Amino acid sequence: MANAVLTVRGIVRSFGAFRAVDEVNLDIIEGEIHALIGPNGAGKTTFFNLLTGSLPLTEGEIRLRGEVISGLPMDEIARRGIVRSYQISSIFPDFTALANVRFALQRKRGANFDFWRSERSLESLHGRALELLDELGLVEWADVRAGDLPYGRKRALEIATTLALDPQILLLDEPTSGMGREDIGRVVDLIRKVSKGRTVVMVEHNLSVVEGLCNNVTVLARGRVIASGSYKDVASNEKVVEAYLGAAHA
Amino acid sequence: MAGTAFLKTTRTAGVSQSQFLGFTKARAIFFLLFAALIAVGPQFLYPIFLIKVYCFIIFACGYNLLLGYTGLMSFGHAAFFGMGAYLCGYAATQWGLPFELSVLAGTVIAAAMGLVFGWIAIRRTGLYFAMITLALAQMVYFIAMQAPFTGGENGIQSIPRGTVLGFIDLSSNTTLYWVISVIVLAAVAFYNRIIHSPFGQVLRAVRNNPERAKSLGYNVDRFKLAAFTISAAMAGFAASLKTITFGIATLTDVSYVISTEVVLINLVGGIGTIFGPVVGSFFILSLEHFLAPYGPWVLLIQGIVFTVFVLLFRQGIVGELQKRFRTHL
Ligand SMILES: Nc1ncnc2c1ncn2[C@@H]1O[C@H](COP(=O)(O)OP(=O)(O)O)[C@@H](O)[C@H]1O
Ligand SMILES: [Mg+2]
Repeated sequence: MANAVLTVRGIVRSFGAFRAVDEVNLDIIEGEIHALIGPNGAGKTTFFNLLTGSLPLTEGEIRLRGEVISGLPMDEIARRGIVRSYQISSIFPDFTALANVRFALQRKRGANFDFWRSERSLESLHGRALELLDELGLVEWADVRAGDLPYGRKRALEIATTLALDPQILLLDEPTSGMGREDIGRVVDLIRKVSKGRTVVMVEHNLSVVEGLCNNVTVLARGRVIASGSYKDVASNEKVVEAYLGAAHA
Repeated sequence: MAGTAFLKTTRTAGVSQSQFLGFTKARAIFFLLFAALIAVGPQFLYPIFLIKVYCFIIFACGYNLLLGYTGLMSFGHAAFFGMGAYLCGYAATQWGLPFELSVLAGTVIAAAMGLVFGWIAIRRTGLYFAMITLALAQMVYFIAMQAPFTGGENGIQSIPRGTVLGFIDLSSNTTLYWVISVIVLAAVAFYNRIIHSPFGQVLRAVRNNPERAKSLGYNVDRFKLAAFTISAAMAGFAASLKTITFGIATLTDVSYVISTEVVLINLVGGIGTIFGPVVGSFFILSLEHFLAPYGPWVLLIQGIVFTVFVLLFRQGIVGELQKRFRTHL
């Protein structure tokens, strides 16, 4: 596809004899919000691990704007603009919430090997960091040690940290899981807002969120793509209904 | 919201205000106490013993940078310490280099070795990392035993102290004491600065959550390697000062005992604290010094100290002080 920003071709990831991701092909269109859904154990998180270089591929190829990125180290892929949040919140527990976000801003700023400079030189990033915290309703928590934040706040903090890098492609692994209704609304609004000018791929279990937010939906089951298209197309697809029911019965 | 944000900015900035030489208030007080101790020290204790403590403080600071702030445990720092001592001694005796350049030679060789060993070892973490560093250091010990330039069992002897800047004669113990005192204070301030620099911030993040640091685009291995190299350089620097002071470089400096001693110092002082290396060095070296007349009993006492700290005070003396006074030291 002409305007695909990410093209995934025949990717496989095996764990021993088990194929967690099995011959997946996918095009992610520039500027879309793309949902990845499927029952637990379908391979969604593994798919993200492959996109970000957190796990090596067993087979296949991933391209970003035509350039092969599979095989590159994880930090290099992040610097090329693909940044993720994790299903299990990944934060810096000993840093304050503010320092977590600042740490992401620091990477974009550069000069990170400056061991002779005072860390007060980082205080110029506080303004932007607080703006991001504010967007996720975390300003009151700015000085709290991140490890001591309640569960939902940790997830919000991770999203703020991810956004701080201003990534071209944002991968969100179950961003709303474990959040209350109000926070879900906030995160959905935020994703809609930040999706302008960038591409979002999100794993999401809450189907009403998917329906309201996403342009395209891909359904994974047992490592394979079983359906892809608009929410309506996918929701009425027999295989999808079966996969969900099958999982429920299993 | 903008108003709150503004207030927060000033408040957050306020945390790190009122600094002295880059130290926060509590640390500045501790630093001044240390300086005062240095000033009166020679009236109570043999200055050469104190100099040895100061050298180990520098060594232990470099080690804590790695263990406490980057989360890497090396069992091979004797290699950097020992080779730093040898090259400094060799430079001063064979090449006739002055004090500054001999110390620089010892520091640079240790940094270069750190770069190579680090490059090999950082591919692994945890126990495997520790084991690789130990294996490499044992190889260095073997080389030190065999190679002619180290002087084998005799080591390098009669190393001249020389002068600082060409006119401060170090042959007097008193002069040497004040020179090393200034250096150790500068080294501790430097160590504090590294940890509280943008670079130090990355190291702490790497220790906290390396996977996330990588996924934010940090080349974690490069930061680890940089920390390892700085740490090795500080070991070589400390060893060079010790070599100049005692006038000898021997196999003891390159043996695994040195590697375990620096771990013990930090464990007792406080891993991941600024002043842990200071307190730990005083504690451990005093123990050795004052128990020396009792020979092998030192080992027994050291074993007991190690066990007690691991079981009861895992955060070390400074870690316990931090808890007591609810501050960071
Ligand atoms: N590192 C791993 N080693 C072995 N099996 C794994 C590993 N990671 C994931 N898997 C397996 O791959 C399958 C897909 O997991 P995952 O991608 O986490 O699913 P999802 O995110 O869709 O719930 C699961 O059966 C899981 O047990
Ligand atoms: Mg998952």
